Amino acid sequence: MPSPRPQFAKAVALKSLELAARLWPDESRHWGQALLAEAHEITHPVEALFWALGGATVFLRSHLSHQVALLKLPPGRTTIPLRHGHQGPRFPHNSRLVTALLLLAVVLLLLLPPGREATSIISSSWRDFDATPADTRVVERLAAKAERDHDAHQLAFFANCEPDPGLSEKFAGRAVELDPTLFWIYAGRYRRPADTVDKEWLRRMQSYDADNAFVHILAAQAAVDPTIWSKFGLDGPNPGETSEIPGYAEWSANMQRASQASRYDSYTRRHLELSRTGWKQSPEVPVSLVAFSLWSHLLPDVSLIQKYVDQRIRQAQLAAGMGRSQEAEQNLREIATFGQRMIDGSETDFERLGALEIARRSQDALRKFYAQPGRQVDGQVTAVQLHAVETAKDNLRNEHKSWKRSLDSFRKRAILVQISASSALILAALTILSLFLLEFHAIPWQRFRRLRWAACHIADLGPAAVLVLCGTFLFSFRPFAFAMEQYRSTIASNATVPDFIWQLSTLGFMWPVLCLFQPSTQAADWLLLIVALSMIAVTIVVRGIWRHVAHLRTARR
Amino acid sequence: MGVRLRISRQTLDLLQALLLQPSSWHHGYALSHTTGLASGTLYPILMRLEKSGWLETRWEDTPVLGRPPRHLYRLSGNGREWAREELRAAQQTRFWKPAHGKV
Repeated sequence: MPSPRPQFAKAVALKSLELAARLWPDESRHWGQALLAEAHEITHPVEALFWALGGATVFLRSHLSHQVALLKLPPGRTTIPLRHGHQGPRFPHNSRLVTALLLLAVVLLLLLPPGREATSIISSSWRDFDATPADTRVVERLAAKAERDHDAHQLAFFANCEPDPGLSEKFAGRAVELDPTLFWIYAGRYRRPADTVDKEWLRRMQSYDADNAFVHILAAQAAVDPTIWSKFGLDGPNPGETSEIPGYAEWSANMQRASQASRYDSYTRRHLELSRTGWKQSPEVPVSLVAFSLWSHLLPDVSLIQKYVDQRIRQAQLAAGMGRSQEAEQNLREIATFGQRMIDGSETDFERLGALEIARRSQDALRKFYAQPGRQVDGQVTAVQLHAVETAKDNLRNEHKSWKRSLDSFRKRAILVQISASSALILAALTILSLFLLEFHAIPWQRFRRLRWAACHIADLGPAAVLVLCGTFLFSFRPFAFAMEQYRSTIASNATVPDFIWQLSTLGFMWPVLCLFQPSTQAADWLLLIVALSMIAVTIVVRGIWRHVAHLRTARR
Repeated sequence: MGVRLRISRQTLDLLQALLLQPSSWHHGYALSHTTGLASGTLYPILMRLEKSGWLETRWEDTPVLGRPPRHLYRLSGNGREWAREELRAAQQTRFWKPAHGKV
């Protein structure tokens, strides 16, 4: 009687060959069955095992050659010869190999670093630059590492990037604990909708940087509910109405401190520099979060500062009317100096424009004050200063116009980027669907001839078209990639960094749609051209389908 | 025949084994024994020979009860001529030496 072990070895050999024969490619399955039949004849168990092992290698070789044969055939075709000949189902012209190579080229194009960055940014723009949970996880992982390394600057960078208020606060607190000179990062978190102004942070900023007008302006803004100002019109509340405003005294005291402070610094440059160095050190942080961080930086509410300045001018005029000239002049000079400090310390055009308006109002009030007899010289000096302020304001407006023109070229590019990216995505989805339907024989060819015809055409042209669209997308994205690279790699200047943010903002998903409502813009012409070309393309395809259908009907008759 | 066949020493051994009784049908296991080739080597050669048209195959008519029918092989008429030429040429170039005397 044979021992159980040899019986087991032969059973394993037979079972494995049975399985191989079942899984063997159709066209050569008889060889698997032949190997199995011979295995039954082998009496020696070890020999049977070796026979099965050899059979397994034949099975693998057969499968490999089957796969190679399949690659040479078009999608949907098997190695079994067609029964219907020319009357049978339609198949694409391109082989699986060509289709796979084209799709592989698309994948490679998008997986290379420039492609990865471009797709990440464009998909982020489709979410209106909202962070995904995956984005947040990246920041949290990097923040944990920075925490272990006691890297205060990176922690501060992640605090600004982190969308979750609780975590952001934790990172910010730890960063300031490690390096107290980073106290200013609290200013980078005010604009977030979920955040309320933290009085403790304001207190810290005021104590760390007491001679900075900016922190007192922030404290003033936080003292009064911002919606209340709309009740009082452009000139703000009258002296009798101020008692109706909760927190007005605190607002006024903080604005007084701001106007007397020796400097103005909104920390914009520090924030931009921190983001630049932080992003350079951790390039895996998604651009959406970096943009979010930069957009979150609070700039002062210039209209509120103007209200304060107007109020001081009115007080000065009242004092002058009552004969208290010295008090009036002191008031006017103080706010004129405040305006000048804001001009000197402004790091963005927005702030500078507001500061110039404040300076213009105060200089104008001073010029009127010096119109009284005996103050002609002071009046002339003030007139010169007023002229300088007005000239600077006009220059800034002109600069803004040329800047806007350069931004318009980015907008045109953005349209091309969005159209090529969205077309590539739609076409890729259609191509994959067509290939899927053909490969899994999901379209009964006798019932859905037109659908099969369309699927074959998409399977033939889709991969190449997706490749071309992806190439167009990456090519048109180059200026944006260059802007980001420039931001990361060069020392940021006042001009280039806000440009980077604005350039990125042109990628906003709705921009091409909004453009339709501004038909006078140049970008609208581009959009119309692209729409017209797309319509011609659709017409050609529809005409082709119609002709094909007509041809089929004629053939049936 | 359209398919070009790579003639290895193992192929020549198999051709020689098939030519020993050219009109008889051979089993795979028996061929493996005669040539000393493992199943992983033997069957790809058989597959190539069949694809080239040199080999005829059929299934056993009366299989043993409880066992699947066995696959049988023999060289076709053209295949025999071709095999003899190949073996002769291989012997002349001393690429291969017959295991069972002169072919």
